[in-house]
Amino acid sequence: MLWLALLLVAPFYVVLAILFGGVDPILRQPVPVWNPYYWDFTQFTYVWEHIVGPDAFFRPALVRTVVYVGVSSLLCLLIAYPVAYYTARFAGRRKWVLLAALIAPFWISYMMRMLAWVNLLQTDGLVNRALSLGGLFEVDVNWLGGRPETVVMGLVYGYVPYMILPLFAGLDRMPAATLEAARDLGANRWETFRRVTWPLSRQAVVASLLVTSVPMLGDYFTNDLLSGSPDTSMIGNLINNSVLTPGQTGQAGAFVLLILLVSILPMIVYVRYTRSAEDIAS
Amino acid sequence: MNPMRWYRNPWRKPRVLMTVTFLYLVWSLAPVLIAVLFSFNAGRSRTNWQGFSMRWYYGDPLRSVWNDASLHTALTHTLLLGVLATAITVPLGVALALGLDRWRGRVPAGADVVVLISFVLPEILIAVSLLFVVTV
Repeated sequence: MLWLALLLVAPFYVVLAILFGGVDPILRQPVPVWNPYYWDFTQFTYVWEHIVGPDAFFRPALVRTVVYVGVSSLLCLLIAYPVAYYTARFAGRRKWVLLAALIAPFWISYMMRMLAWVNLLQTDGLVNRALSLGGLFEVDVNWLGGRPETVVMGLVYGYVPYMILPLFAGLDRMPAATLEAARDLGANRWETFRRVTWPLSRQAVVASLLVTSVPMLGDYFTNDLLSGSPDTSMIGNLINNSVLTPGQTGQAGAFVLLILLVSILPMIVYVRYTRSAEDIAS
Repeated sequence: MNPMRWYRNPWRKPRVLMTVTFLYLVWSLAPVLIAVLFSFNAGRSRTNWQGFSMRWYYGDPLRSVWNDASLHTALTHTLLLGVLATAITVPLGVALALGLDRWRGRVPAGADVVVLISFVLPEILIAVSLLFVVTV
């Protein structure tokens, strides 16, 4: 506990001190201000004004982040739910083999998996070649030239495994007898799913969405590798760029604070939600 | 066979789910396998197959893993950091898990939230704040 407090809370205080601190006028180095009483809000208001104000050059990246994360999370769920459901209910004896294959991406680093796609998505790469159906059509789509669909695909590819596991855990715990009962009582396939399976798995769905979409909020790596263009940059890229630029570290602090606030909120909601669900269950 | 009857049959095989799962597995593992396959490529290209060779492992006098000194240091660094990080995190994680499991009351309930936060929070936030701690 002390360990976590030391590594989580203390660094964030440093971030605040830098965000509300000044910048050395000559060296462009951040000068932290430790005492909240002397905090200077210019850097924060600077970022804030460029998000909501008329000259909002930070806003597109934020909107993009929200859209990309939303679309990717939904796609992740669309892929992960059937896979987890099949594994939990129908895989039978092959369940553990299948589970090992689903966990396999965890053993390969995220960077490796993105670089693998960089190979496939080259203009003369396998994706374009597959799309041309053996030279029938002329396809030279520049997938890596800043296309939103590539970035969303990369995010989905990167985070689906993290969604499958909690979903599997939730669906595996679901008693099969409830489904059989629903069928016995005359519900058809769709009704069974809508009235029994889905409500029982809702908690796992919420958990898995949380586990994937919150980390996606700060992702900059996928973008850097699969597009590299400012047309698709997300808030993670803003942080990365401003950390690397002297004199803008305070802005990075502002973005960090922003993501922190945005991501803490769903976590609190989730914890309260599971608490109340446990109360109902017991 | 009547398609409606096939659809209504509750004991039919879950073909759709099976296909989705199979396609997902191919999609999730094939890119990495192809990348590994191309490490045995005879040429420099990463998109065109130019024949099998061990060139990038030990054949090439300059740029193969066996002969390039910078790759050696990178490899040893990776191994060292990996072992070190595992050696530090595993005891800490086990201790925390044991402690949280046995200790009842308000504090561990709050600890759940903190663990969740540290698990879910984007890495870049922790990275940036630690960078500030180290550099300032």
